[in-house]
Amino acid sequence: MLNRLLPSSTSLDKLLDRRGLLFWIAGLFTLLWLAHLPLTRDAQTVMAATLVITLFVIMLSMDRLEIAQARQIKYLRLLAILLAAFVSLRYFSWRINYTISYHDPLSLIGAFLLLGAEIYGLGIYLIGAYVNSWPINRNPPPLPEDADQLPTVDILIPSYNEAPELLELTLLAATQIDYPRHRFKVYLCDDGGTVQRRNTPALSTAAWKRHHTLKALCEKVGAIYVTRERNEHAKAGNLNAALRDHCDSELVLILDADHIPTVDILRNTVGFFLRDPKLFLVQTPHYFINPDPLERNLRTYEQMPSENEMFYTVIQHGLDFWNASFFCGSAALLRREYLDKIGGIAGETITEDAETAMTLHGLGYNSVYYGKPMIAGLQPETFSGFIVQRSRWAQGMVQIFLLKNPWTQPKMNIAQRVAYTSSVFFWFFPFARMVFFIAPALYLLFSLKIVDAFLPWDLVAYALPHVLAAMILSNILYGRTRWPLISELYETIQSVHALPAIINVLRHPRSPAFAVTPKGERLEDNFISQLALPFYLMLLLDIVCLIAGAIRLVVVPEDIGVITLTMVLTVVNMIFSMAAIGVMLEKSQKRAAYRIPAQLSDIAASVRLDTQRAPVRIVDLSHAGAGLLSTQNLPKGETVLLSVAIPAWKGRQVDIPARIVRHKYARNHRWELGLLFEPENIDQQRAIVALVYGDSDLHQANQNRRQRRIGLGEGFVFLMKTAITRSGENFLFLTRVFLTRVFLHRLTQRALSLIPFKIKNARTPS
Amino acid sequence: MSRLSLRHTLIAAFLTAIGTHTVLAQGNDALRIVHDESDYIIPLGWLNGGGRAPIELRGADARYAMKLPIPQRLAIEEGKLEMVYTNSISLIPRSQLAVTLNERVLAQLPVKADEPDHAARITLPLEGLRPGYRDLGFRAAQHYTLECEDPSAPELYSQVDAVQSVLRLKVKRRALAPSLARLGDVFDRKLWLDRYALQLMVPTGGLESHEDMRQAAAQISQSIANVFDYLPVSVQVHELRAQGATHDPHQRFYGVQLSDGAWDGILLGTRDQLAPFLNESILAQIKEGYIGLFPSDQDASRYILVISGTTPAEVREAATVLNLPGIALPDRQDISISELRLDQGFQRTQPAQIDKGWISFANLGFRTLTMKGMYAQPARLEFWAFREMLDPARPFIELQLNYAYGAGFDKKSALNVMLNGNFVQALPLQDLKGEQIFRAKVRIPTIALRPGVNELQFMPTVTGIDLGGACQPLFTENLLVSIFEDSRIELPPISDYMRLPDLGLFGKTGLPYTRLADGLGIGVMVGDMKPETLGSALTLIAKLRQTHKGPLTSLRFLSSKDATTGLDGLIVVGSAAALPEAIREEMTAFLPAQRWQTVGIGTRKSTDIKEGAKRWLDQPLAPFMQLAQVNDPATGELILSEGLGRSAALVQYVSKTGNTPVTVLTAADPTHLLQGASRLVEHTTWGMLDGSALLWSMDGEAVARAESVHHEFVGEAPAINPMSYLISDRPWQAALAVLILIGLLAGLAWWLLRARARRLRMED
Repeated sequence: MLNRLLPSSTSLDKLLDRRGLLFWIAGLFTLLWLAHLPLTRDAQTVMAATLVITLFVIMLSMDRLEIAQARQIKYLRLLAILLAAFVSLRYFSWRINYTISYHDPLSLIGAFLLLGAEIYGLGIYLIGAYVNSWPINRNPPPLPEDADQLPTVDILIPSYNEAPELLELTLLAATQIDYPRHRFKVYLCDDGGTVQRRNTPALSTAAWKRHHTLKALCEKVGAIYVTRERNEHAKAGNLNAALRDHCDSELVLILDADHIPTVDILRNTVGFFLRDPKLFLVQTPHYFINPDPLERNLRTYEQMPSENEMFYTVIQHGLDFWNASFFCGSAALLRREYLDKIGGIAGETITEDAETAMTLHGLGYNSVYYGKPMIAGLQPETFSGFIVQRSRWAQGMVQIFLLKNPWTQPKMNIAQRVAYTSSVFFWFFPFARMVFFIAPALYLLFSLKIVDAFLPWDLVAYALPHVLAAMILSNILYGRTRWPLISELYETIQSVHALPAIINVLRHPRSPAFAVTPKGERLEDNFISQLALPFYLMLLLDIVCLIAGAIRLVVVPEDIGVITLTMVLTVVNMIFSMAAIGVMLEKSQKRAAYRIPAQLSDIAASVRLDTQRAPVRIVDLSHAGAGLLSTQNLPKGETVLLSVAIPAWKGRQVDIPARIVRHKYARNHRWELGLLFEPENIDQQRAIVALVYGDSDLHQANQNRRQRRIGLGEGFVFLMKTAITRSGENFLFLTRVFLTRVFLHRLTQRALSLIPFKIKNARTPS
Repeated sequence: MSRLSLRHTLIAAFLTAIGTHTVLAQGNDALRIVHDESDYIIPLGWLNGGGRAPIELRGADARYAMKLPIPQRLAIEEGKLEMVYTNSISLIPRSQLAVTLNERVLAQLPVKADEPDHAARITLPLEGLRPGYRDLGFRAAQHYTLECEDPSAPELYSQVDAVQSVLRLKVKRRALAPSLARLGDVFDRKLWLDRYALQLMVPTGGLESHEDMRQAAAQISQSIANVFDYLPVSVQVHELRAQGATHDPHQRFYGVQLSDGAWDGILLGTRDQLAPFLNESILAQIKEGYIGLFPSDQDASRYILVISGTTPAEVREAATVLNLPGIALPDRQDISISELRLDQGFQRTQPAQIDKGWISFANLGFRTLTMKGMYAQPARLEFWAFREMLDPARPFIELQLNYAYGAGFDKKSALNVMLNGNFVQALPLQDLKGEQIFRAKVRIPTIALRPGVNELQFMPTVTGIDLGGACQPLFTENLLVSIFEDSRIELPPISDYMRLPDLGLFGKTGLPYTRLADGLGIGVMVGDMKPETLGSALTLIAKLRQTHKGPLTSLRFLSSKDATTGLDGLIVVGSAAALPEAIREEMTAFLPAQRWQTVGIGTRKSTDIKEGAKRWLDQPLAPFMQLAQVNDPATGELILSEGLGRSAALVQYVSKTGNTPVTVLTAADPTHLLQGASRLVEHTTWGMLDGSALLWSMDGEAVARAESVHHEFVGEAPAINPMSYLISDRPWQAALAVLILIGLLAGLAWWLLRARARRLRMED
């Protein structure tokens, strides 16, 4: 077991490591023993307060230390983990020993459900802390000068129903990656134009059209169009068919259709394979240029770090230390030889990516995570699409848990097993979230005694420090990428719809089908998502619980402690419900192209109109145009040339034709100009793609821009304000719709009544 | 037992004596019977538990009855009740006071407002005074007007003086057919006695010869004590000397004389030992364990119970039979015991805990009680608790009460729960139809518990919805509240984990010596074999039996030469000079010439830096030097060269050898020892047992009681770690220690993880 934990080293190092580990384990058991000791309430309060205050001081210091890249950070992180774990373990010792007793069968069931949910949360929290105990940041190894020594790479872009315009961007970017051109090929693997689809009468017209369009597109950009006979095993089958029938390179770069790569993606990843012959994967972050439905509908995108950033900016770095960072389906480079050993991309589950990585880890191969964002992708536009995607991930991970459990893989070490367990077990959160949601109602509405707490002060002495410690630790470990309570919000919103999907998988592990996540949709108008109803019901339940709580306070005032606690939990649930309702109002999205902020890059650019040349500052970019800041006012409608030094092309100057479509006085003698690109040839298109999507430093800077830590109170207030504001918008929208329909109905009725004769079969609009 | 340095023992004595205080002298105030051979004068209060309080008859229709025990052995020739009573001056002549015997009115006494104090002499009919328990009662019909009246008016009362009112009974002792089936009539609780003096006759050296003989004596003492229940029993050992004169074959006993004050006697010995004292025909019957009942040759109305056998073991077996509860003996004069099989070492006679963590009220000695009326006496429950037996994380212990109340209670009525005189919780009694409540929860804050004995009182404050008034009878018959003995309290059994020394626990339960119900592992050691010493030890054993309410069949009776290794508890009885040396070294108080008493006489200031540092951690803002000032007790230490004089002492401590609890009963000499033991087992003295040592005089006044500051814990600790208490007592230091431990662990983790990263050449 020790060898598995601590692979090879010198004898002395091994001895010291073993002894150190033994001491550490002994110390841990001492801590566990101390955590279980019953103490008087006062003693517990003193101890918990001391440790929580220490945690708080660490949290306050983190920003300063991270900026200074101080060496103490790693130690303080470990200290914080142990402090929080100890406080939480003391809570659970009390919780298990003193707050569960038999009153009646239903109360006992409720008590065990709530305890089970809490223990699940504790397990995930502790395992997560372990996984993230030592995140590492790698630097790419240098590549050999001789191009022929570089490994060959096949870039596979699987596609099913994505728009050709979107695919064109990805293909253009892929074909101009900074790597010897003769050492890589780009394949568009089209599952939308397979022989099967082309031969299916209902689909053939569209399939043929797609086939031709994409084939022409590939020829235009220099990529290779491939397809297959039949649509089997979804994305995994598509990739495996391409690998089998067309590809022969040493490495394979997989990119989703909407994941536009930067020019340096291969230069930053190939070197790892040269250094480690047992390496099977280099995974890079998924970076998105558009908000997910929650961010868009709650309008938090500009202020708050995106939900995925916690995983790619923190957790994957933690997994990397344990050699457990896993394949995420795209933006990853794999070694062909090892893929072939397992028969290609795995397809037993619908998260074929994690399954493939786990299989290869299980054979003793290594992985690396390089944390610089080198693709720009798109999040689902609608909440429905978001749920499709997340349900697939949840189902796939549960399938992995059931069908390919990490603890049964032959050559994984314990650290890897724990890491995969953390990743897989996380997806059982819908169960816990639902329990947490209904728990207050069990008491307030049905008087089920699911928690025995002698005094309110017991809750203050045990439960409050645990909650604070968990939140502070989360802020310490993930605070720059995940604000307080946002995890709970995302989980609550996903739980309602993911839970039935997970239950289905538990009953029929092999039943789930791969569902493609819709990307790039346009929403012409605001509307209420079709998945909204449960959240209205949840809010209604919360309101009913609050009323019940208020009644209880009057009727049973001696239970004030428990009533207050459950009402506070109900209020928290209510905030989540309201935020969810805010999400359900899908805001219109009419952009064809998302803008990427570019101020931080300080790109040298100027606009030329005839002989006039005005230096400009590029504010934002998209493949459709650019937003500029100019000292000169240029007339709207004019065709200009945007001269820009493209950072991805090492500052090569390029002229891009464009038209001024917007101009507005900003301030301080500056003008905001909006440009619409009008490329005339493919080279100009390539330049645009390189300018907008080619520079990984720009993605990095934009990602860092929103990553900041805020305090617990500030986080709570932010969430509360957002929830109230956005849910208010939802209710206002509903009211308007309702009134409009009622008004129209009445107007129509009145109009009809004025008509002197009846029209046969006239129907009033509903 | 190991020797301890004088300094250690002095410190122990000092610690024991901290808090020493003198209990107020209380006169031995109980009513006593005055009697001679044939005449008995019994105060009415004696029938009422010995209380002196007058018998109150209140209201328009008042009744009061007492049980009058009539023993089988006394034939009553004449009985008179001489009554002294007082009536209210508000009573009209229509009122009357009647005396009843067995519900039959014997006399109706006039009530005169102008002559409130009366006396009356009433002859009791002999047919109403048959053996058994008879009811002697009073009925009062009291009125203050001929028209509508309030039947509960306070002026409607009469009082019967319980001290001056007496029963005068002329009796003759009756000879009963000697039958073991009627042993209960011989050793009869109904006898009119203030104490029972058990005369135990043994051949000279008989108890010294073999431990089984001493065990037999202990068993028989217990059996007699059990018969007399609460009545103090003192055992007097008489050593018989063989007389060489020729024996009269018509006599049963030779040289066996019952003393004048004794009712009956017990003759104990093997056949060979008893040969000089018994008739041949009786001796011939003794072939194995033997019990025989014979009238005394002196007086056929008195008896001698013979316990014998061919070997000491058989004698012990025979004596043990009588100590077993519920044994039925045949209608024969004697029996032989072929075999007695006894289980040993069983922990309790009934389970201490009915569910894990719960003790029923019944197991704490509580019996179902119904409280009647508006001013009922509260129900009481005593239990032991101390901090170390309770979970420090729980601020409450729970009590689940099963109770019932009658119909027609006013909604202000409640059953109040008091702990040690302080109000804890009220249970409302508000259902007009009455109710039975099962497991009503009452929370007892642990902060309100005292170390040692705690008393719960269940005090109903009730009124009916019918408030009475002019011409409206106040109906209070419905005001009934019952507390059931299957109620329970959340405590670990005190017998599992005890905080010693605690003479109060010893006096109430016999613990720590009754932890195993048969007394296995417990030894009673005598300092010498003098009859007075043996009698003292047997008296104490008898009292233990009465307290424990179960036979201590495995109790050992040791001489000072016997080894005490392996014993779980030791009781030592002996005069001061005869106590074993090991006991003398460890005994913590009232030991002449070694350590008598150390008393606190004041305080003095000194500076203790270490203590100051400890306090400073709790109060960091307070001035350090102020915190370092400690108050040391100023003491007076006394060593007396002479002995205990006319005092006797009972001292308890925990021996360092094997953590054994030791209780020592001692006096200046064997005579005073026996007198002291007899006084000890009386209610007034025994009821004062508390703390770690008691000193009393021969007239029963407790002179001093000592409380030990330092306690030991005996038994299996409940699942609460001592570390829990240590941390709870020093929370700041503990928090700091945990912080340091976690810091070190984090540092070690950092080192290990960094080593891994370097070893795997992970970039950082």
